[in-house]
Amino acid sequence: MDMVSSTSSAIETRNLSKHFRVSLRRKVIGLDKLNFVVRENEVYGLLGPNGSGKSTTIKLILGLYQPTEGEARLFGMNVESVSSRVSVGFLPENPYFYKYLSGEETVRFFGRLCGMRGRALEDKVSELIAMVGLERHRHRRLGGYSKGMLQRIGLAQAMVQDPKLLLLDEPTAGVDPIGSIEIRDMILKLKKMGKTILLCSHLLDQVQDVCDRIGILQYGKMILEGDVKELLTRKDQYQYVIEGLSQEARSQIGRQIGDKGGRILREGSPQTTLEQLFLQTVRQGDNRQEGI
Amino acid sequence: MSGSQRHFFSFYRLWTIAANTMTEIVRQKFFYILLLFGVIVLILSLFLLEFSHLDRVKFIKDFNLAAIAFFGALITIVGTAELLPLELENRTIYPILAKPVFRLEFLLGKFTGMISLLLLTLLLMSVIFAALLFYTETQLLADAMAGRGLAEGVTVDEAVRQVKAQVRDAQLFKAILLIYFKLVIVCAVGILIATFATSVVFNVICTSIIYICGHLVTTARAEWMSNQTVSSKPMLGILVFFIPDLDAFNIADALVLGQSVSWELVFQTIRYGFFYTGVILLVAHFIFDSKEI
Repeated sequence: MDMVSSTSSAIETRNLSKHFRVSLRRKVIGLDKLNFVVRENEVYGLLGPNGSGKSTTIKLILGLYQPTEGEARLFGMNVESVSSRVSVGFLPENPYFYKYLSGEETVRFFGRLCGMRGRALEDKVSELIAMVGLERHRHRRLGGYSKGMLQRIGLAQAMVQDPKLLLLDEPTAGVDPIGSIEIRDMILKLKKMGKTILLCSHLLDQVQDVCDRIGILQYGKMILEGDVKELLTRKDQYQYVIEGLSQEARSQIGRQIGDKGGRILREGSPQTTLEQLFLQTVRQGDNRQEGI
Repeated sequence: MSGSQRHFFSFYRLWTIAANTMTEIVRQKFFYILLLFGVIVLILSLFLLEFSHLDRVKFIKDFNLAAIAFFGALITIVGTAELLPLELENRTIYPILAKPVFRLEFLLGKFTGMISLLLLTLLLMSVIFAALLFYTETQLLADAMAGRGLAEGVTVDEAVRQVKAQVRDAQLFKAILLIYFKLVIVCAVGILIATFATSVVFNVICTSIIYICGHLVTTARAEWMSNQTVSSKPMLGILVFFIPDLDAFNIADALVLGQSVSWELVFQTIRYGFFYTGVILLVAHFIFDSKEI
């Protein structure tokens, strides 16, 4: 596992372990000597089945848990220091916000916690509410928000102090496909803006689309880590997607591949993804509704 | 913002949390219900009993101070018991502590929010109390001027002076001030219990027990000094040394009986309250700071 220097890493853990005592004699290992690095301006996907240690890792990184062993650093600062969280935004898995506050009040509250005030804070609140598409609902209490809207307001509060690092724990949980795609696009936009993102998600397609690197956790250990493209590439196979060839020409190419010692493993028309089909259908429906 | 920026304790963040805590409590039903009951009970004092003129004032003073202390304590105990457990249960604490917020700021923010709301509640009840006294004074003065119900040998001027002296009693302010500082200690006790207990009901029960025991400390101290029984002495010792003496804040009885309480004693009691509150919050901070959330 490659370790880069603290100065160029947004997150760095060294032998980070967390044991939970469940009784006097028994303890459960939540995280076992985890070493990983998230470099600045990359999108890192932290994957793993339920109970693999993803949430424990995030809680340790945010200083909500104390490690049993090892340490975690944010931009070179030990996470035990509150200062390490100055440039961090966190979107929790479920929208844990005060239901009695409106969307606008929520973002303002978190802005104040980051020391913002006055015109700068008000401008930022308006900018973020617009960015997450909740202008029409900014004065509504969160108790009346849908889960997708709560995730968006969560994203707005996470970005209120313009952090360099965003920790997104299941940002699309409970969000409909269109909302999910919008959040994915937002993540890509944030990456273009130079943000570093640690993404925990069960939606593997989404992780594949947006992440530069991934790490897979199981039983509290990192069992696989690397560049997404490299990990997904089958280096012993090669693929062409061809258009406009006749049946006869395809047969000829097939024979030539056999002559050269190759073997066709699969052939046929490529399929679109379910996501693309869904989007296309829904957008056509929208257009019909609007009479376009 | 730079990641290497040093970060210090901020009263701005503390007040942000305190203001939000006030909003949180004000938007809960229990607060309105208790406050409404408190106000109704205060007003009821006018209709409860028919006393002779001066007894009527004494009754209103006694009854209203007791009602302010009782409903203030109820709001404090129930309100404080909910503060931390609900944050943990609803997990609203996660995104807050994920921001650059010290746990001490969070804890003191919750405490400050509660005692600020308590101050406003007591102010509201005091204004109603003052209005009731003013109304009673108007009635009594009208009676005195008309010569109704005057004691033998008492002139109208003397009766008017007596009524004014009884009603416009600055000592009442001292009593309400001490009720407030007593409730500040109760609030700190509630916060301390909430740092290690997660059930709201448990918090309410524990804080109530300490509130009751706090009023028995004076008696317990006297018993502890004189009692030579080995078995009960340690229990009394715990009560005397670890439970704040809340009875010291109760000067209402003395005032209603017409006794004067000096400002020196009031400030001395407030200093005692500050000391206990500080110690309790310090212990709460040490527990909360190492708590895994």
